[in-house]
Amino acid sequence: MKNELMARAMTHIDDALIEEANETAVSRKWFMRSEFTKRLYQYGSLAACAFLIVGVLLMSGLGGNDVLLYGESISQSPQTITEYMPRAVTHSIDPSLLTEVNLPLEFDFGKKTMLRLDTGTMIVLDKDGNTVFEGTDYEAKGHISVCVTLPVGETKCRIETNRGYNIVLNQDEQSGLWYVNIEK
Amino acid sequence: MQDSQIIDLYFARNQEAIAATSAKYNSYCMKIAMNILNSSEDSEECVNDAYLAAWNSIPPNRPEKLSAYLGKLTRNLSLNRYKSNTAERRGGGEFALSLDELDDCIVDSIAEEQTEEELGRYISDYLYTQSKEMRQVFVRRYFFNDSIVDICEKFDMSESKVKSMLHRARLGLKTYLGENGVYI
Repeated sequence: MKNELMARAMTHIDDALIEEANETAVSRKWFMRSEFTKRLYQYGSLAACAFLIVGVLLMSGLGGNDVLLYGESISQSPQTITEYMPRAVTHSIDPSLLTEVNLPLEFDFGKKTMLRLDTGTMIVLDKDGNTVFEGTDYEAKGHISVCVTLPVGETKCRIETNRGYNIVLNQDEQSGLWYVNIEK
Repeated sequence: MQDSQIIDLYFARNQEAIAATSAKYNSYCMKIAMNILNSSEDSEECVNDAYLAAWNSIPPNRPEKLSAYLGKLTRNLSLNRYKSNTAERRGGGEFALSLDELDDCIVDSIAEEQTEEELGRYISDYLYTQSKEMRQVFVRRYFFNDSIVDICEKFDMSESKVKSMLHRARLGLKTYLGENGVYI
C-alpha cells in the first residue's frame, strides 16, 4: 500500500527533525504562564534586542562568516580570487577564445539560506565534486562548494542572500583580476 | 545519564547499556509503539526488540542523537508488527487514521519508484522549507503518531489549527513531491 510506504518513509526523516519535534512546547507553555515570567520575558527580550543591535553594529566590520574563500571567511574588504578557470593570469590562454569565467566560493551555512544570483549561473557541487544544482536561485544549508559562471565581458556579479548581506564579485578592468567581498 | 555515556557502555559491550537505555527511554519508546499498536503487550515486545536491535547495531553505529535512533528502531519494529497484526484483522486506532491521511500526499504513478530512504529524504527536504511549528506538528503526527488531541495539548493549539496545519502540510508535500518528480 502506498500510504504504508509513506508511513515507513517517515522513519527515515532527519534525526534533527525528530529532536525538534521532541522539544517540549509544554515547557514553553509553562514558561509563559507565570505572570512574573511573562514580564521578565518581555523586558528581558527588549534588553536582548538592545544587546543584539549593539553586537551587530560592533560586528558589522567582520563580514559574513558563512562565506569562505579558500577556507577563510571573507569580509567587506575585497579579496582577490586567484584560483579560477580559466587562469588567464597564470596560464597562456588566448583571451579571445574565452567565453566564460568560473569563480569558486564555499559557503558554510548553519541554517537554510536563500542565494540569488543577479547574473550568470551558479553551479553547486557536492563534496565529491558532482553537480547538484545549476541555476540562479538556490537554497543552501551546511557546507557547499559553488562555482559562479559568468560570461566574459561581465565584470560584476551580486549574490543576494536572506541573511542581511550580499556577496559581490568584481573584476578589475585594468588587471583583469576578480575580487570578492561582503556587502551589507 | 548522558547519551554519550550510554553509548560508551554499548561500545564497551557492557550490558548496563540496556538498563540505562530503558531507564531513560522506556516511556518514550513505549509511547511510539503504543501509538501504532494500541496494545501494551505488543508494544512492550517491540520496545524490547528495539533495545536488542540497538545492542546489535551499536557499535559500529554511533548515533549522534540516541533518542532519534531508538525512536526509529522502535517505529520500524512497530510498523512491522502492525502489518502482521492487520493481516489477520482490520486494525483501527490512531495509526490507521494517520495512514489514511497520508493518502493526501501520494502522487500516483504506474509503479512504486522510490525507496523508503529516498522518500524520507524528500520529506525531510520539504519539511525544512516549512515553519518550525509546522514541522513539529507534522512529525508528531506522522512519525510519533500522536493523536490530534495530544498535539493540541503539547503545543497549546486548537484542534482546528492542528488539523488545518496538517492538511496544508500534506497537500504541500504532495505538490513538492510532484514538482520533484517523486512518484509513489
